[in-house]
Amino acid sequence: MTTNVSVSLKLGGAMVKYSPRGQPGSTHNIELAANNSVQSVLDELQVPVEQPLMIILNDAMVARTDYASTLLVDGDKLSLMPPIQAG
Amino acid sequence: MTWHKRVLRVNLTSRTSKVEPLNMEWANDYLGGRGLGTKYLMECMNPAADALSDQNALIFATGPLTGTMCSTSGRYAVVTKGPLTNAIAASNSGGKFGAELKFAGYDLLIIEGRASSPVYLLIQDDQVHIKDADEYWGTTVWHTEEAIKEKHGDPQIKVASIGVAGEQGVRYACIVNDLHRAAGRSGVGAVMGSKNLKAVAARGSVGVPVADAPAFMKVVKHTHKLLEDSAGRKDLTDYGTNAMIDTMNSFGGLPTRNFQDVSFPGSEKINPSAMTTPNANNHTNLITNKACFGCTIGCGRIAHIDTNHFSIKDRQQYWHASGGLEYETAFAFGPVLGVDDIDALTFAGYLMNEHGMDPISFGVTLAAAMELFELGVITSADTDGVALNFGNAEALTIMAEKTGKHEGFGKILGMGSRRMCEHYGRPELSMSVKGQEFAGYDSRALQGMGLGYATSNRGACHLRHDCFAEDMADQSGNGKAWPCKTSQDKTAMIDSTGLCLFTTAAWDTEEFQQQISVACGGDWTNERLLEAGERIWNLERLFNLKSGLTKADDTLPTRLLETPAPAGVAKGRVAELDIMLPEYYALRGWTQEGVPLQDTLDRLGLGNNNAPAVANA
Repeated sequence: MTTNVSVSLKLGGAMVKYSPRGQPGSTHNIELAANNSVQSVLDELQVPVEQPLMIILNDAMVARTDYASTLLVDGDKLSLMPPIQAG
Repeated sequence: MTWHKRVLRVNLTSRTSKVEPLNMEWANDYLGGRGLGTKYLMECMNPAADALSDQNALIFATGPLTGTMCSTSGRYAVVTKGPLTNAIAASNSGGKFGAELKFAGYDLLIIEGRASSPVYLLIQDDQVHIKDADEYWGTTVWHTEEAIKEKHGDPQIKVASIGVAGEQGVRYACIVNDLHRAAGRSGVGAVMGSKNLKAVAARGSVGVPVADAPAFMKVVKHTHKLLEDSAGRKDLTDYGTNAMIDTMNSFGGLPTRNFQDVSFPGSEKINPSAMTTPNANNHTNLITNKACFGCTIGCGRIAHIDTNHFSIKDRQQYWHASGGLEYETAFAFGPVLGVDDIDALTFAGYLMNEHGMDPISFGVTLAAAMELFELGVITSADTDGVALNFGNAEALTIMAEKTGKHEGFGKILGMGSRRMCEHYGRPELSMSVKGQEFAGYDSRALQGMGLGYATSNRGACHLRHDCFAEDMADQSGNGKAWPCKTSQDKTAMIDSTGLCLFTTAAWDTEEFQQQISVACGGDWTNERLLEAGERIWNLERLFNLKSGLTKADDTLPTRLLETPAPAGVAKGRVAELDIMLPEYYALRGWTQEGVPLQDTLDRLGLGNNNAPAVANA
């Protein structure tokens, strides 16, 4: 039996355009099958490779090289944010 | 070439003006804007003079590319000695005023002395008038701008003016042009007020020549396309700079309640999503975006406040659309005060523009006052009966207005956080460097930002350097000195061209080199431009040393140096200035006391500047 995991997803700034199923708002709860990675979430949300962004998982930065190997577990907080820049 | 080679010098004491040739040797070494303004300032005044005395000079400096067809060519700088910091003040603004001054035929406007009574300047090409401003003194920026246009029967006049805050010497008073763009930081508006100068109005009909028009158009088309295709540019257009609030909140670098915390749950009520979502009254905050002269980015926001909101319910004069939340206003009225009321924040922003004040310094000063209040150092008896608790949206709006009008406790807030906290015997609660308040980035989370804050020549500033990529990748202080130093030089160069920093979403030094080359003529390389930036940085440093600043001023508040970040990506870290600063000084070619070495000054052509205690290695 496959156990789903529940992940809190935060989309900041321009990332809201990748909202799951076009739902409004910047905070969502998403259900994933176990052993899904950060990259699989990006694929599901159709975030293109060239989109500048930074990813924070439970208060830790996730480097781009680790997107595919970083697996999500139940209760994780995943933030997709535009890169930091002056303003 | 794009310089008019004309400087307008106005003496307010004698109420005279004259046009003098632009020093082209200086223009080739410092370009324009921030750099050239600083060079002229060094020659106009003794840096040790009081910033609010008639010995200070106030310089409006366009760049060589201001007013051209380059994208974002509306920028100009106001350069003076800052009354908030007693350091060099080079405050950059957009809108349309800078281009109009250039169209009037001037590269720089230098204002010296002090008028015996309130005046304003009217510059119409070669016609320069110093006019009585008694009827405008004591009125708002918004009233002044519209009244001057009406008086002269020309809605195309562009106006840069001050409000009561500048007139009364609020230490962070700013100069507002085009209603809601501003030369915001360091108190340049107070300098203007100290000279009894209410406004500068410009109207021009002179074009801006370029050295090689066909080549120029080709380069402009290319650089425009780079911006158009840039994802970073598009995000600025669509969401404005306030998109940063979500990032900083998630990262754990969002200064909250006077930098006591690093994230703020209420940020979801004031982020770009909140700006575009209808509230319970079916009111939507954001109306559209807005661009400055020549800008193809359009990061500005135009918003309006819910007319049911307590702040404007019975005040129809605020029911119109005006400047909306940008990241720094959202941070300075929101998280740092613990307030999450989007309409209160927007109204406070209106008041900053109407009365002419720096929102960053006001907000962080109010945050210090709130901490003083919650500690019991000050009480309602001191604060006109207003409870200055964190999270009190009404207190934000009341105090913004009092400070703008220089009334009651607003007079204390108008001192700035350093002087206010010293006054109450709690200097450590001022979140500032060299007296200038921090922007919305906590330097425990962003170490390179911390080094940039500490070493910025104008006090705490987030725009003088760019270590964001390095700070995102590595939360330690290791290796931050080099990107800080090199980006400071590059930014000083960009600030001197007349173009906007936000073009760096798509452009690198190469693109600035291309535009400068075809517009100005001459032999411009990337290296020459970056060396100009380094020269500007060192000249600013010399100004500050002569003003009396020392290495002791290159520091951060105790809270950031000793109290670990309570949460976020950098949880447990303090600002690692002790690691970064020695390396930075060495990279700069300075002594470990922060003084440029003679070899450094000679290399940059600053060898005759008699820097205090300059030594050889």
